[in-house]
Amino acid sequence: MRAAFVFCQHRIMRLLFLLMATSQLYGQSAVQAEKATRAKALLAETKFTEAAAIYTELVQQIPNNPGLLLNQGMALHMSGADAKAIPPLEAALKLNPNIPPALLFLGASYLRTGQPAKALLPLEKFTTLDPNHIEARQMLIDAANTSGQPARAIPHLEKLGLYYDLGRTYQALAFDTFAQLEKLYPESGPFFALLADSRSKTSQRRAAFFFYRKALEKSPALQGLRTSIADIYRTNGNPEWALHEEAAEARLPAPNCKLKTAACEFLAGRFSNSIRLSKAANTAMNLYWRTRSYNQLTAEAFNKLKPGTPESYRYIAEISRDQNRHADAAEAWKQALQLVPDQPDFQRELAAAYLTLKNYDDAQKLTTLLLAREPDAADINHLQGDLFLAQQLPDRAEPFLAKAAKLVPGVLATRASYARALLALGKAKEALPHVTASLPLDTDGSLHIQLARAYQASGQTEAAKLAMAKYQEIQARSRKQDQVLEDEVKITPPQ
Amino acid sequence: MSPLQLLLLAQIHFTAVPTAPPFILQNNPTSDKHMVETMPGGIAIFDYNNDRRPDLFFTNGASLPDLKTKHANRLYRNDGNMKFTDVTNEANLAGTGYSIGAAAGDFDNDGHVDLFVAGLYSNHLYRNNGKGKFEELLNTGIQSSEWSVAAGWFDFDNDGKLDLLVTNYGRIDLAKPRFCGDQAQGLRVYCHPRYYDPRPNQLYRNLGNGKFEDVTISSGLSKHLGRGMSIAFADYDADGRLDAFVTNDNLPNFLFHNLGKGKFEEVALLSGVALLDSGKPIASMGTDFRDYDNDGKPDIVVTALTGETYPLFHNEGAGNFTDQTNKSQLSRLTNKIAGWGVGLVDFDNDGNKDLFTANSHVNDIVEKFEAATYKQANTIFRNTGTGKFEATQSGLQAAVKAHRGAAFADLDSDGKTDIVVTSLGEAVEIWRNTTNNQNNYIDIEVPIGTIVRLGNQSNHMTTSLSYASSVHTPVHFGLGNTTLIDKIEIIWPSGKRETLTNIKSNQTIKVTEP
Repeated sequence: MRAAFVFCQHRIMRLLFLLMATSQLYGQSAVQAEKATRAKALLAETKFTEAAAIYTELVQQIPNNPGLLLNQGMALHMSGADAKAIPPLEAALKLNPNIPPALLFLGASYLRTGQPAKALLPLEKFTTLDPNHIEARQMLIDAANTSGQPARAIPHLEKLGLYYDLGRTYQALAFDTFAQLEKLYPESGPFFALLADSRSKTSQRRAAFFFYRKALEKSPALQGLRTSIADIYRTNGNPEWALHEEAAEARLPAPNCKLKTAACEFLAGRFSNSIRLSKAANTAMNLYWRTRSYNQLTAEAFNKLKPGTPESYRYIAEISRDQNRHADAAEAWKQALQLVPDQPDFQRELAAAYLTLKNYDDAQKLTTLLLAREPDAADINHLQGDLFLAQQLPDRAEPFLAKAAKLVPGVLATRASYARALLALGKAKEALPHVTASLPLDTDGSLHIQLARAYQASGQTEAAKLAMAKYQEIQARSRKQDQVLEDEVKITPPQ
Repeated sequence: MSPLQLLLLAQIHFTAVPTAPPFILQNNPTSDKHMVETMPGGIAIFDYNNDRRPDLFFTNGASLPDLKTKHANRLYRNDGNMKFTDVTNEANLAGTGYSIGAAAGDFDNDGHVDLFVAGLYSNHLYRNNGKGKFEELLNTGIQSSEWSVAAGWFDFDNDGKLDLLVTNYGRIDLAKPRFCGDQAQGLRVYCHPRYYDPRPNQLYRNLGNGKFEDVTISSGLSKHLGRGMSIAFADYDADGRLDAFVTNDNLPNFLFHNLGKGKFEEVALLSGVALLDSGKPIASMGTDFRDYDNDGKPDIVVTALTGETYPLFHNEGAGNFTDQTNKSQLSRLTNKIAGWGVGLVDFDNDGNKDLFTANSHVNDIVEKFEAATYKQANTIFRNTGTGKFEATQSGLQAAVKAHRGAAFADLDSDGKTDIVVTSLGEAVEIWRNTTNNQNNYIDIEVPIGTIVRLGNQSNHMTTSLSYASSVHTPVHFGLGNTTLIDKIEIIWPSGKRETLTNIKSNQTIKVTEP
């Protein structure tokens, strides 16, 4: 997105010079006209600060002139004074809401000042007025994503044919909707049905079966549940049970689609309509159909990816990674990098895949490359540290992890790795604050063991005992949960 | 000869013995990938016929899942000069069922070493009648469990009779093996250990007259569920009672502290030997429990999988251990290998115990998933005497196999410890110690549980070590250039102490409690 933004600046420059040629001042004195001419010349010479000063003076003298306000805003924006650019641009738009350049510069200034939500409206207006402006759409996508309103990026992603980003956007919306369903209706049939779907997609057959059954208990009339159970039976070698479930599914009454509902629209394959209708109320069923619609649209977007493109390899790599098929992921990243050899995100991902595959030599080649390019990137320093840690070289890991932890003290995984390195080097006292900070990540108790060892080594015996007790508590809880799950996830005959 | 050549000659070196027994370990791999297929390979080295030459016993598998066709366990008599004769049938040791671990010990104190064999659904106690034959004892009070891996003899109550600890791995269902792997790609792998519910180990008190009492509950052991793999014993806190260390596969290890009066408390976590400093349980396989740094306190070494390293827990005294894997260099040396059998043995007789590991990954298609190999060469790491280990060019690199059990003894009576290693589906390896130096040694024959101190060295008589294996041979000490030993201190299991003085090197001495 950063590259798009820089590109966008070039486009804005071109626009700026175009505007300089066309903007006019009304009711100006000769002196003011001369100043205006001087300001234009300064703009042409890219002396934006000086130009901004003249426009500011002119605006004080001629306060309600949209052209002057626009020029002041543009000059300020171009000089990097975005916070100062916003008021004149807003004032210009108040006087004339449809000045395309004012909309564009205002959106750009809001983005630069970290106010992406405010950038959305002017940029949306601008793209309506200038539908072929690619950079504006890219800025808009950026603003929508960074402001947490990804849905507003969708039409622009579609327009630009950015199907990878479109798929990811739909996916994020599906996650958000599902999270809402979980929060509002955690014990509902629709929630369990979606949970089952997700398990089924990752081949966790027994867990999927368990959740489909729970969904069926809560929502016996929900379409598709018994079909999904039948699929599991068939894969599990119980075709007769599958037939039984399929017969039961066939007996379910067909949904009444005389009125358009989210369910009916989904079943008819009109997913966008289904989403629109589902927004009438956040009922469990509406959230269910909306999540499913977003999932379908995600799949549709990814299906539009052209095979053999970097995005298609990226998609394959990410799917493989998420399914723990790291060798496949590495292969796909390699393919992507053959097409875009210097893509740093792909290089990062490939390095991480190599690390998981214990292919330390190839991972090292990539981290060396990445660090040469971005020596202060926290994530790469963290990756390099982890790479040395995996090779049992804590002394070499330490400086990278120290740097990463300093750069992003809030990233707990980095703090945890740094603590591990320090502990391995016998620097227990130094490790203590970092292992303590990373405790929220402790799902299996291992960080509490590290904490206990750090306390022990620094002579704090009682604190070590407490940490050890906490470890045992986490372990006991986890064992209990595992047992419950193991007892529950058995594939049993139809009920 | 150049100094470098001289140096190389003095290094630890082994040569494959061409006359090794033709034993092939039949683990019976199946497409169902039963985890037990990865586990056999236990070895027992003991002198079954009292001819002063250590003999070799190998456990073997059976057909799966029916267990009906037994691949015979094997006993090979050591005839000297690295020649071995198969005496399985006359010794009556072919056995039944799927055997994994072996433990040698004279449980009836008749002077003939007996044998316990652990396995799937069937554990067996064989009494050595002293005439070259073993009799399987039934109704001894020792139970067969679902899945026993290893066993060890130790006299936990110091009553002069060897008691038995048996490790159990987990629940097993041979009829319905779980599918683990990638169904879409048709890749089936051995399931992660977490799919096998852990079980308690079993402790049997020797009542005499061939009878044992199951004291698993009363001793406190039953409360601790693990996926037990191997056992090693030592009195780590010098309280006069033997303690037991048990490795667990992907669960914290156990250290059963012997409290006396038949009670044990599990203290691994507090003592610092349950887990590495990372806090993550690892695939702990084999173990040895001996003093590697000559500070007089027994330490613990464990083998595990690639990327997990082979943990080394240093005994700091007062019941505490510290993770010295990194400091000793073992983390770096062992990060890329996976190990089973293991032993802290002074191979070059320089007075420092070196480390042997029998290597192989557990996953026979690991190459498809990560940059690791299934079959691996064994390794010896030389103890530098400074608390660190270093790699050696020991000659073992030639055999790249799925190694499992390992055991150590001076098979050719030359004063240097040789190595026996099993590997899945392949012939047993015997490695003759051909280290070329003039260092001296002494072997001291004492009962199990006896501690022997010599200078700053310390060792104790135990037959439990490595992975599912057992060695019943005298306690070995390398002496460097010492030819006359000023003083040997012996601490008997009874607690009594005895000092021997002015002992000549390069001999085996038998010492009995006065």
